[in-house]
Amino acid sequence: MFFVNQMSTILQLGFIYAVVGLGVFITYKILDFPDLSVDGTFPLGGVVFSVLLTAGCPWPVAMLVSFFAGAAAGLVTGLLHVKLRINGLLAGIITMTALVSVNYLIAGGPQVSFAQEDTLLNNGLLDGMSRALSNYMEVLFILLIVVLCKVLLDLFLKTKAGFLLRATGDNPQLVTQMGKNTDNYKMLGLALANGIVALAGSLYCQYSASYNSNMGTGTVVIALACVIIGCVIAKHIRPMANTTGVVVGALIYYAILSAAMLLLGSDYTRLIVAVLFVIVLLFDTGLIGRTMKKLFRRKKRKEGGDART
Amino acid sequence: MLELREIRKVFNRGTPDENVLFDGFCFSVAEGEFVSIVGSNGSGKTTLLNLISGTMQPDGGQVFLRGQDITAQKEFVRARRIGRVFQDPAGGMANNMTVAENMAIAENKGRGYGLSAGLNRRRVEAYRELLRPLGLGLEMRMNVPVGALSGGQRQLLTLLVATMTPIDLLLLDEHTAALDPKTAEQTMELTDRIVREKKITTLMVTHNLRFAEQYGTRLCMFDKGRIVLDVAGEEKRAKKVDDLLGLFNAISVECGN
Repeated sequence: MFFVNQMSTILQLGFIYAVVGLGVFITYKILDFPDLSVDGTFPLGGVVFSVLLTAGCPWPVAMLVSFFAGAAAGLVTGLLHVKLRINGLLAGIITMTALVSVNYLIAGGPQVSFAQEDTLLNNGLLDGMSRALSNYMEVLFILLIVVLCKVLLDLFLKTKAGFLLRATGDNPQLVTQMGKNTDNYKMLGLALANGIVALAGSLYCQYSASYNSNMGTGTVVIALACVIIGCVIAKHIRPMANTTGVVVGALIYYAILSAAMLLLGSDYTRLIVAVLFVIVLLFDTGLIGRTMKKLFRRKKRKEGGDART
Repeated sequence: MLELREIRKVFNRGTPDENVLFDGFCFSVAEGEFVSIVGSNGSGKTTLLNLISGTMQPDGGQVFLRGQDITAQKEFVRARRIGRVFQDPAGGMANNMTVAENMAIAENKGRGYGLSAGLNRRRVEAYRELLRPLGLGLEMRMNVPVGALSGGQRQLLTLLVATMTPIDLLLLDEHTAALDPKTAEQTMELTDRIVREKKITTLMVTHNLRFAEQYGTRLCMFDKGRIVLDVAGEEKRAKKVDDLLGLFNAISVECGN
């Protein structure tokens, strides 16, 4: 029973961070832009959703509004970067910092809870189900959102506008040559990415039936780890799209994170997140792969030498 | 059709290294001309292309294209009428995107980029037919990322793609310099064919004196922001590589090189 519960938690949070990952995939992989505003837009989506819900707004509308709130925040990062020519990392940090206060003001405090309201993860369909079954139903609902985001993103990236968005990250000169302003595509990408992240924030709040102001801390690092793991997997399994890889990467990451937290206790969460990120980065640069190869080769040579003597 | 009037361009202004490259520089190109530009490093060839394309802004003077003053236009606005191929084969394409995707982007230049599908089977077939005459086998590699192609293949593709949509002016910035002799030759032949077929007014900067002598309808030699040789038609045909090299060396000696 313990395992069954643990598994559903991993799947729920894994899929929620898969949505965050899909957003960060746009900025990090497609636009090649290190966007830190995510740490602020994730809770922004959560707080906008929570406040609207407690004010009596139906949950689908609240989710949609949180998407646009996130997109607006992403647009601010974009404007800071392309119009005021502020370094991309700094533009993200500025937005993230400002959002701490904005989120607090919207929430009117550090917390909002809404255990009684109807949400995607707490509605009539789940009434009367056993705890375990309703948990897995929730997993299914979150998965629906993941699939929706993934399919829409994949489709968008195959449109003409999507082609130019990809070209903006790949070779901005090409976009300029096509008579288009790369600034607009950077802003479009940032808005889209942060909209998706905010949507994930609203999912996270529905999962915990409350908003907590510190829910955003570490989001960037977790999401980047999911994206990097996902893209490494997708690279080695050819027919797999990068976006599918991100979803799988998020699940793998969350499984490892949960295991580590079970072993060490939740006091170590952020430390584990940071260390895991370093390990993922080392895998990405190929350092671990090369070291392993070297170690194995040395061992083999030694064995070979022993055999000869 | 292209005219630069009283251009002034200063580098490192206000520093001890201040360098006035162009001062009262005038240059014009007639409709349909294919101008080869040669000159030593720092003579202002690439700066000229940058001023025309809008990558650089002049400190004074105006740039006209087909009678329209484009001096204040941003680079991406000018690019709608000007195509450009760079020296670096990686510079003209999205290298993580496939051959077909790059061609689709190029084909839509000037038509807008909406939410309709970027590619479909019919378009891919059409791109295949465009690539077949190149004889590079690229038509079999439509779904390969451009970054996986050789420098020569990429440069030929860039050239083809830059001229896919109607443009007023083509700028070639040492586009054969990074290629091996055989591929450079092939690239020049394709350049010549495209320019002739589509009757595009072209400016080609090159360090290869033989290409400058062999191709194009007009030849200019630059030195320190001035035009020291400007020949066209019969006069150009009479010039041999040795004449050019002689003049080139004479300039270099003046410089103290």
